[in-house]
Amino acid sequence: MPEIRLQSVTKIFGRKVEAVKDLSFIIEDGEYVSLIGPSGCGKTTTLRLLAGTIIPTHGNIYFDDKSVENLSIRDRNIGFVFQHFAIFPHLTVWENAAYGPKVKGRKKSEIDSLVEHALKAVQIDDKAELYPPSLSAPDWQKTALARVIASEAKVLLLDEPLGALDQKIRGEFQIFLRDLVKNEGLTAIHVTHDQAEALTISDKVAVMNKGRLVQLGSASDLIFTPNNIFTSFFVGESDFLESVVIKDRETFAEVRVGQSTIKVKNMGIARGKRAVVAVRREFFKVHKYEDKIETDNFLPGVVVRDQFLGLLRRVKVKLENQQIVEIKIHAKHPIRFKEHEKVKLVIDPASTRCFEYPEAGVASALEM
Amino acid sequence: MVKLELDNITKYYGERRGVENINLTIEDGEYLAVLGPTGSGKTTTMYLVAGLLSPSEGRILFNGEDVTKEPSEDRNVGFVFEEYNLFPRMSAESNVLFGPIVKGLDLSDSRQVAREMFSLLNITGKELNFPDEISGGQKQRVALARAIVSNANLLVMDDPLRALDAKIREILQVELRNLVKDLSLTCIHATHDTQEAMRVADKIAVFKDGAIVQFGTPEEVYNNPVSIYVAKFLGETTELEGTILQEKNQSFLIIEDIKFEIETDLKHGTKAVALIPAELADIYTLSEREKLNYDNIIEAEIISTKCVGEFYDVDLVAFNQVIKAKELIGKNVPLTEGSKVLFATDKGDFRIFPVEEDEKDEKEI
Repeated sequence: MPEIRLQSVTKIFGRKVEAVKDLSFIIEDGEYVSLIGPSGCGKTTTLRLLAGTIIPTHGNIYFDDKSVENLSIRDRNIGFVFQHFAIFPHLTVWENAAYGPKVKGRKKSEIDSLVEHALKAVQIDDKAELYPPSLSAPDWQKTALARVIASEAKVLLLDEPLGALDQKIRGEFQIFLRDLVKNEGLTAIHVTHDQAEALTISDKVAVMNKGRLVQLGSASDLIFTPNNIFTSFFVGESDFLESVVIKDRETFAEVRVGQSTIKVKNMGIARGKRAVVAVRREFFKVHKYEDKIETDNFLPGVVVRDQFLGLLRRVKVKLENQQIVEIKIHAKHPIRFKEHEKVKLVIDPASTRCFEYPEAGVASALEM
Repeated sequence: MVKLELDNITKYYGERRGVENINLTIEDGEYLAVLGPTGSGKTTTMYLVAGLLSPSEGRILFNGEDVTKEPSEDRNVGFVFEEYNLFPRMSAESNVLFGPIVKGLDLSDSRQVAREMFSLLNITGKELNFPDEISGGQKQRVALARAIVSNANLLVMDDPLRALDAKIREILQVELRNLVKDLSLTCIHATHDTQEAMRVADKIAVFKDGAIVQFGTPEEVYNNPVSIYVAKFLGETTELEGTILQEKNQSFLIIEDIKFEIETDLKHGTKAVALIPAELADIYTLSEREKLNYDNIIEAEIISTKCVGEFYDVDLVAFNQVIKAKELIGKNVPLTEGSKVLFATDKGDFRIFPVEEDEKDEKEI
């Protein structure tokens, strides 16, 4: 089964539109990888490059060390599932699944056993004789998946496969899809605009922006240890504190934010350098300023707004350096903060990330 | 600048009901969210306010003055649609200046206002770009600038952020509210997204099948949903069935041999449905029991947990029921599958409804 390797892949449309730039990464055999990023980030182009419907302008793609230059689309052993169910409405579920092996010229007995296995695998064997128009949306997608499995594809490419399903069904289908891919030993690459879906379903998630790969990692890597400003911003929500490193020796570095000094994770930024400290909005703890607390790792500030949102509360706080940060707290947090109230924002150094200050400013790193 | 009133507004499309008997007042400078699923009458309401449709019955009043018969162009309403509806062959700036030009307003003044709008909306530099050269978020900002630039004092938005990626949506929600408040506009914003409604609005009107089923501040609606429909629409919940026990001025819900303290006026012995919003189902380790201050604490087992960004979605099992919980990721609870934990709630966390209402509600949906 294939390992897929992209090596410095660039795709330019027309003369100048660089949809994908210098993309290199490896998808291991049997891995479930999702691609996420803002619209126009190159995720769909990447999927099309893997499918072979477009070819790289520069760079190369390897399936098990075989360059795709010498590998026809058919020999890539790929199956697709799109948001809008590409199945034949005039064929039954069984006939749809049998299409692939038939085209490949398989014997009748082989086709029967492949289709039987595929329909069982996607749990639609009880509807084998039905035509798609009489099926529900999830069953259309199951039929599309059955066709991929019956065709003995080893790589499954999914483009917003759950896009047309209701929110409630999506959750169940995510688990179903992941189990299916794992049981069938497929390698899956899944494009979605839904972060929660990507984080739930995948072994690894690739964050893309402006045609480039920003970070490839597990859900917990991306949430708890993002290795750059964009990931901290795009996956979940973070506040960014502009600071200067004043001590860099220990596990924790000391940085100056406005008039205050706080400890943050030491990520190798040298003393005297400007840094951006990223803190997840859920990781701040907020206390009244006069409260005695056990730590001195906090930033003082003044409450701008304490907004109740049911699901949680968002508290906006203006720091001494006039920066406004927004933190998320439990809806039932015992204190309701008043406007202009002085507070302490406690920061757990272990939960912070500390990045080099981008030359063109923090906003430049967040551009999508 | 404008107080908007809908007085018993009904709109039928032939036989089909769009909205029926809508009564609504939006104070000057207030931001109202119209919240409901597809087909609940949100868009009809937006079109009626903007004058793009006429009601079958009822009156629309701006500052107490009946404008029901006034055409859209005389109402000074800025309209933003889900699909930006920009003129594709005009630059961003020309799109924004279209209204002022048609209305014959002073062009140099309007240019000045347009420039300020571009700056306020962070799209300075995009003035000469055509719509297909800018992102969805930028297009919607241009549409907003266009809606506001010709002295609109009422902003009507029909699910304006729906077509955008989650991240841009989140950013624009904050910008939208700030803009509306900075310019002291009155605003009515339709959405199907509860968090969006709560994030932007001062008041929320919850729609169902062409009628308003609840109206109030976000906090009022969230804390006291009037029906199972509203409670479920607001977010993920756990649904439990039990019997009410009234005892010494305290109310309880009895489920099997478990006794939850709740708040309710329902009579002793009533069969009731309780909905617990997932975010209010709190989880603690067993060793924390002593220091917890909750009305109800029971033991439960974690059966599944997944991290979906800001929350862990956790499924618990206790007394043969699956309980859905959401925990903010900053909380330090080891959430491993199979571990025994404490499931803690306060009496105010239960949304209690008599069972009959539930059945009626299900039929209506």
